[in-house]
Amino acid sequence: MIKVQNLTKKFGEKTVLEDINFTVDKGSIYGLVGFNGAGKTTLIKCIAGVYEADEGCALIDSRNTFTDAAVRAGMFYVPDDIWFMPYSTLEKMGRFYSAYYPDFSFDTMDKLCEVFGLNKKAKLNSFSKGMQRQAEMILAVSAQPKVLLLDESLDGLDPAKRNIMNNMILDYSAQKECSVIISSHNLSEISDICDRVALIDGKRIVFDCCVDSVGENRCKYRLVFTDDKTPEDFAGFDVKKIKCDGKIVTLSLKGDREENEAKLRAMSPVLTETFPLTLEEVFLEEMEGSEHDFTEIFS
Amino acid sequence: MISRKSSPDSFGITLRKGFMSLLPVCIIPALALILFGSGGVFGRISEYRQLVARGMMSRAAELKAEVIYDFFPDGDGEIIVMGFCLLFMAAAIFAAFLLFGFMLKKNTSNVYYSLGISRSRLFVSKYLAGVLWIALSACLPFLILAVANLLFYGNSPEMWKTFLYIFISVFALMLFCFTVTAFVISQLGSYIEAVIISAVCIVSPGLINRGISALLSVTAKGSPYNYGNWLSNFVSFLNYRHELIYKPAGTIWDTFSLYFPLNTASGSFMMAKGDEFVPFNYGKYIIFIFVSLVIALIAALLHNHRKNEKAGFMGTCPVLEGWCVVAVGTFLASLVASFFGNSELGDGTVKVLTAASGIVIMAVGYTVVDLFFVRSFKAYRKRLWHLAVSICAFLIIIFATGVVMNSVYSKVPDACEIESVSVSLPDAFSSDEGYSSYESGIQLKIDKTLRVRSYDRMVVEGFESREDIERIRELNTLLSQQKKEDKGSYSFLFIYKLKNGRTVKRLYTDGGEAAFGKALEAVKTDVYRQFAAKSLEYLNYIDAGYLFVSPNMSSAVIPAKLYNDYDRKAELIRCLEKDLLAGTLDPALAPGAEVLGYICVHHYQVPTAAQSDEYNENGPATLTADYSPTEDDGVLTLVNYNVFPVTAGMENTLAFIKSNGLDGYFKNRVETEEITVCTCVPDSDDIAISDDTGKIAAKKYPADYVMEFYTEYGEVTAAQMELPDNAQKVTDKAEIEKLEKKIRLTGYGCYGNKYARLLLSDGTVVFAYLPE
Repeated sequence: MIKVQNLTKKFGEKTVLEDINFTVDKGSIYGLVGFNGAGKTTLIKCIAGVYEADEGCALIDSRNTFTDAAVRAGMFYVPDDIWFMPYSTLEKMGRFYSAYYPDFSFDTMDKLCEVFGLNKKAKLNSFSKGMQRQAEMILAVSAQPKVLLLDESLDGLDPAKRNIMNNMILDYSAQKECSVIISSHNLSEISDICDRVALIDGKRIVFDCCVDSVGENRCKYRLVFTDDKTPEDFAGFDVKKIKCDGKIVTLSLKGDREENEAKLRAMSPVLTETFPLTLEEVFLEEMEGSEHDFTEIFS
Repeated sequence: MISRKSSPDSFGITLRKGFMSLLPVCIIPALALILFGSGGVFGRISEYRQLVARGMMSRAAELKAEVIYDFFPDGDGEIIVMGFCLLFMAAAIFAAFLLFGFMLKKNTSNVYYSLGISRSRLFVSKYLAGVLWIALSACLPFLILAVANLLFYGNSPEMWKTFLYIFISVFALMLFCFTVTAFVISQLGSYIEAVIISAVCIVSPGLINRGISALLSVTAKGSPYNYGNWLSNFVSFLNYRHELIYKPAGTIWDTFSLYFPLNTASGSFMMAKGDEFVPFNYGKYIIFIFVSLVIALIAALLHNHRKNEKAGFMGTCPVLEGWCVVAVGTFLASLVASFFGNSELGDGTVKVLTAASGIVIMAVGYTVVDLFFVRSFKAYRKRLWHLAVSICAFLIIIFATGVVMNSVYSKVPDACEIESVSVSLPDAFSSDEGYSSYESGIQLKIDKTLRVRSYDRMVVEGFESREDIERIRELNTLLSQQKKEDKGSYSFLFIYKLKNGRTVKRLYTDGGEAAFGKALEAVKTDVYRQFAAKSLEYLNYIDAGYLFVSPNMSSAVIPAKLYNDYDRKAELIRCLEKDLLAGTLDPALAPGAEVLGYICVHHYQVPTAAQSDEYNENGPATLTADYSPTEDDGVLTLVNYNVFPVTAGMENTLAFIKSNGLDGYFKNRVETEEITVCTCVPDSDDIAISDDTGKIAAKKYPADYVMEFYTEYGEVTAAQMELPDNAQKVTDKAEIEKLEKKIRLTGYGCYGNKYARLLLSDGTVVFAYLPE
């Protein structure tokens, strides 16, 4: 089990992560989403022991990942910027990792190479970016870790390989009770394979919930009123997004659905439509300022 | 299939992988040394065998002296020694980058720091891999040469002791470079910064040592140079000269010479059975090894909490930047100090100028370096306090050298504290190369006095009487209180053995005429005479030398007689020793003393024709035991010789000369037509015949002989040589006669003294020393 407690990380005077708390159970796949530069990679590196947290800590089975090297022997970190030894092959990298991972399985590596169609004797620097990612994932799973940290590891894969990769992660996690943390910008993919998802907004986690219940406390409505409405008319709601077009109002609300709907009914709309929110919509709503009028810029 | 080990030894595996990755690199210095360096050793082995076959080592054989070993490189001061040492240093630095460079890039550090090995074990395992590799690199080439020695010269404990010394010295040098680089890498984030800062850090001890030494000469008046700092007794005999401060190449050479091993143990070593083998001094190298291990320990501890976010970024360690600024700034300020110190400015003005220039140099240096690394004026402004710290450190150094060192180290030990003292005194009889037959490539080291570089003077031991000790103390005091206008370039080394067991050393390199005159008082003592008599023994070991009697220096052409007869030479040496001990052979030959002629012992010099292109520096090709040159062979050049003036009181020597039928040669004088008197000045290119020490050895050439030493005008003949503007020509016969009585063949001359060029009636030209 991964437990992050009050983790704070600063780069000089700039606070990148502040008071981060979450838990990943055994066999659970946890998704980390956030805009570019939100701190996803920094958080994963703190968990991996690459960075030392300024406050708080990351624990795996109650052992600090930075100070306790033995716990890292059961954890594999797949960074976004992959590195292989110069002029090495999958075989050679397998031997490198086998020195540090006691349960490294060359059998698993061979079989996975067949599945992904990679030649384990070919030079890794001759692989494309996607193939290198596949190679790194093969090595990661072959190490048979209890914890897998994947930092944008699924990016750059073609749809077929991505599908295989997703299935591999799901099966491995289920079979080995491996805790997995994945960071990605592909929100639909995150929602497909992750049990829980957390959104990092600059410094903090703004929400952390099960994928299934992402839209539980959120709902999107389109309402038609008899008279024109302004955003001030909805001041009593926890509005995430609102667009008033005369009598037609489109808004996204956070909070208890029944309560919100009751309040909306009290405003006597002529027409009410309800839409559940996808993870992407929730993400975009949380990332303010994502709408721009480029016509002004390019005119 | 799962990996065989259930709990892998990550430490051992990291160490093994690190060591194996360096193996190809360690071959390079070994290969270079063997390919390009061992040729000298095997060449000398071959030469030695030729000398034996030609009967030229028979004297050594009679004395049961034999070559014990021969290691390359041959002596320090040669460019090739520097080259090999730099190669070893570069290999060590490269190894550190290979092992620890993973810290400087994000993608590599991501992998290594997320592995199941702690940071301290990761660092230590890689460090140990490097240490093992260094041991192999330092050992392998010299082990091969040791085996060659074993095969050619046989086994001897001295050979293995020398091998051990060379191995330890090279190991210490490489370990220091490797450790400093590893430490620097662990504190920084980028390759370019790591390369620059590790290079400066490696030379910083030399820079600071050189800087402090130079600053002492300016800020600590009366303080001895080079021995006013904590490295006293361990610092090698750096040949400090003012001109080296002006010449950057010489200065850099001096800085690096702090690191160069292989100076005491190199070349061939010959000894007679039963002679004492002087043990090597490991002090400096033990310090280097100890300091390296301390640095490694600190690096390992700091590495545990290394902020990996600095990987790929520059300007992440202002402390190291500041250290580099202090080291380089101190060194550059010392150059300024030396420049002004040799000017006419007062001492106080020089100190202020030194401090001010140091502050400016540091401010500019820090600004340039910091802006280069951080690339942001805002960040530079925030870190300006580091500059303040660097300047404070520099001012503390100035203060320490000027006040602390002056008061503590300029003190001459009290007479009651001193058990005995040794001092370097003018060696009346030797030439530039004094004790070695350099050309043969075989250096003869007979006793422990020869292990010490004497700055062309002998370090005379054994002054124990109260009178002698007081005399030496007076000389020391005089040197420490010299005014600028009194200074010259005589060098004096004092070694005081105190009653409390300590040894205190003092070195002065700017003694003037007054100091020289004071030193001559010590030359007249029994201790000196006994020491000089004993040192003459070495002359018996010189195989291929000539012994000849020369009339006074006004004589032309070939000396009267040549001997290559060891027994007769030994007899003459015994006579000279007796006269020396009797006090009739006066090493400090007073001007005006009536000299009947000179006896010269000539080291391995072949008679040549009077053209430089026929001058054979490597010794004669046709030398035989009964060779006796004639007038047709041309003029002998009196280089590499020992000259003994013969006066009327030297009964034993005169008896030898008479019994060998040589006294007729003293009557064979050639008139001097003209004498030109000049004064030596520092760095004067007009002094074509002086060497770096300023000492002038008498050289006699025919007028059309092309000078060995080139003036700024290019090759010139002896007669054509441009003389300085202050030259005074004397043609009056009476004046010439007066000057001739003062002129001495062997030179004590140095800057500030006069030398004379004699133009003889037969066309030859003689250069000699003219004491005041």
